[in-house]
Amino acid sequence: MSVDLFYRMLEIIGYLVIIYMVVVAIVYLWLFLIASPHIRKERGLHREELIEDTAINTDTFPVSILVPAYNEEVGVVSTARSMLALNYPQSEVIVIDDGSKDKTAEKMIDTFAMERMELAVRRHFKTQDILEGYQSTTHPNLYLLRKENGGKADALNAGINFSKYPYFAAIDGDSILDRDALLKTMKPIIDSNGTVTATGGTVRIANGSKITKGVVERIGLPKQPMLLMQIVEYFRAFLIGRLGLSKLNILLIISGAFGVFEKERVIKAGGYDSNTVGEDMELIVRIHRSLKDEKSRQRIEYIQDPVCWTEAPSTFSSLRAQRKRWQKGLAETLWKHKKMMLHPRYKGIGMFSLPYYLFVELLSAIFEILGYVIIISGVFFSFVSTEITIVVGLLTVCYGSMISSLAVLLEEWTYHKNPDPKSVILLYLWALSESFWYRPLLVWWRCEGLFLFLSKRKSSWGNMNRKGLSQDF
Amino acid sequence: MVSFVLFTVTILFIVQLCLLSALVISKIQSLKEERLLSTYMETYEEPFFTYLERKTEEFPDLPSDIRYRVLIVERVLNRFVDQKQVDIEYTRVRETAQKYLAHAYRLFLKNGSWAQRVNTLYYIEDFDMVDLKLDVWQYFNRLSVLDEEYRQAVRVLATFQDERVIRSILNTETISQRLVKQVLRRFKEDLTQQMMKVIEDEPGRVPRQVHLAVVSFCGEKGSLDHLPFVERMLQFPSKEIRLKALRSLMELKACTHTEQLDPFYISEVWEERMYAAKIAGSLKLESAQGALLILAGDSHWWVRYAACEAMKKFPDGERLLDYTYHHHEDRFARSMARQHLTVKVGESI
Repeated sequence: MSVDLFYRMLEIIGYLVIIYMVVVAIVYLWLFLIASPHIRKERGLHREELIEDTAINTDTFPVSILVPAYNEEVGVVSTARSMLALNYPQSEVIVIDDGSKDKTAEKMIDTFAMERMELAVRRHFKTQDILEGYQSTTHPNLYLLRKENGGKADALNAGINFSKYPYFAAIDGDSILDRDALLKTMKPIIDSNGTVTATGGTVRIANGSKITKGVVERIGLPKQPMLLMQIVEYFRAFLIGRLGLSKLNILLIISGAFGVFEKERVIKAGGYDSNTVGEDMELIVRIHRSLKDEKSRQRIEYIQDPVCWTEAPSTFSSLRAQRKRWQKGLAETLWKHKKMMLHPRYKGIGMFSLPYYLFVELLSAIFEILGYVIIISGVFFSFVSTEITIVVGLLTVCYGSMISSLAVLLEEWTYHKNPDPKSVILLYLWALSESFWYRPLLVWWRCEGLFLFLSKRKSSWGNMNRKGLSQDF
Repeated sequence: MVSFVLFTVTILFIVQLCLLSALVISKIQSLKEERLLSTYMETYEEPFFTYLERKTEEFPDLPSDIRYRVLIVERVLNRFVDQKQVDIEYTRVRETAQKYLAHAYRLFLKNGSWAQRVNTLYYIEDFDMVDLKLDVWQYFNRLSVLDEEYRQAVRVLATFQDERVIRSILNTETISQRLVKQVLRRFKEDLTQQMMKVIEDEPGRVPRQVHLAVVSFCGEKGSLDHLPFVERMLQFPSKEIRLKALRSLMELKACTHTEQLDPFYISEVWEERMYAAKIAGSLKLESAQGALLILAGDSHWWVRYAACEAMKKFPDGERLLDYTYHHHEDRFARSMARQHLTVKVGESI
């Protein structure tokens, strides 16, 4: 390959990266414009008043809360406590211990005085064997299932098999819900007379906040820059993209950390897929598919309230493992449903949402890494013209830092959850630094995730090295 | 191209900095305001509560700054109503709200933002501001979208026993069952009876969701006065109405002639078999034990579950379940009975 051809190729790649980043920025802007009237309309609404009636209403559907857990001895008790403390008229909490090697089950049994019970479980889905079931003597609506290891999706399917209510909430073993979270999330389902078949709420990072006995008492910021960046990243993901996609009924992700589903619809769709690590997104795509196949008018909705708190990875190795798993899960889902891509039958899902997740969420890692290659080639080796290097550099900063800093501002404008002005400025400044250290790392790990997908290596439960969120031990 | 991109990025950055400054200033102001309001609340809450509880005749002084008066009165009254939900004496709450909030609320309903109007409607109901009934009715007539604003306006009018809501409900095909039940919960008995009469006299005129809601409400209310109405609904051709009637019967824990349940034990609709089993359990119908034994081996999981759960409610429930576990010919019935022998049901779950 001649040197000229090499330069020419780099230049073309440079132009591609420029076009890509401009188009994605326009898409983000468009999604935000769709969501902003809704955000503006509900600004200042006293949401506690809205759910007062729902909290005591007999029409509020009972919900089974499923908590899959694998080696969660640190956090499982506080999560179970948080679920039991929810303000909701009728619910059951089912913790599914997916063959943990630590003392997850023992902690539950001891803390909640659980006794063994016999099981007559329906089998909507085939799962790994359930070894034994327990019921708490202090909280009769709290159950523990011990099963053979089969992964998160398998654990959730086992929970659905055991559950007895028409709706279920899937919650990560390391998450904590606001007291009114379930009411707020179920409200669209109740108000729509069942037209809404699944809902999810905004997830926030809890590191740095004060949590006592499973309740968020004071919102605060962590000290570690890596955790601060993850907070910004969550703002960006939830505020800029998801609300707009939800308004168009083409949302493809309800976070695995917290989502509510109509059980019948999930059973029809075939339950969680145990063969993917992105089981949350994969299920939503399959639900959309079954809705479109049936020409059903049911929809999936996302509520903008921050209702779920989760513990973010606090070491680089656990963050890397998490991102690799997420990227692999996304790639698996898109690959599995590739026939829906650009298929007019699936309307917005096929024509916009899936291509959006492919080009904006999955392949952005490739385009961004190419952007960094262009910058390095231009600055250090002069392989690329100064003009292209500067433009790609500016756009990379814009794409990484400035969209994130905008998300920080949006968060403050909509929810004012930051404790003081100092926190807003701090988050804003850290967001501006994103392109220079945090984003390159993420991009690299996401590329690793893509290679992991291409190599078809199997993944299982991620190991987060959790410290626990709640101060009740 | 470089200068254009540089210019755009710089402009975007400057805009962001301006936004950041505005948000930070607004945050400082709102925190300051919030602190001030908290101080006011600490000062005024106790004297207000004393007045509202009729422990004194003296109305507490309010801050001279008129901007905070509406906010303070609103917060104090809301806290009072929320904390003292049971046995609340509304006269003083109503009078205070009328005196300090009515004018502001009329303005909010007329010119406020959507969120402000919805908040106002909630407080009008919470503070029982019946003097605003006409304003709410006029405002309600202007609404065209069936969203939270519409729903809350209907609820407010129902709380104020406004009969015109009935006509409005009967003319709205798309109204939700839940909203109709919320209205019925707020109605006094005579208005509920009016709705029931319309259903019996002119069932064709009533939207399906309204019909279902009324039947369902009868069970929820638990008044045996409604039992004959519910039992008549058991004969209705619509499966949905029959199911609601069965559920209401279960909630009423009553049945004038238990033979009318017999067809439901062998119904082709599994939900009817399930409810029949549940009713048999809640009424402890000895005559239904044979049917329950058969239903324990039903093809549908929920029917088996309900049948075994019902058995457990009998005085000799343990013995019945034990018999089912050891002698039932169906293995699913045996398995379900075994679960019910160990699971605690019917307590808080």
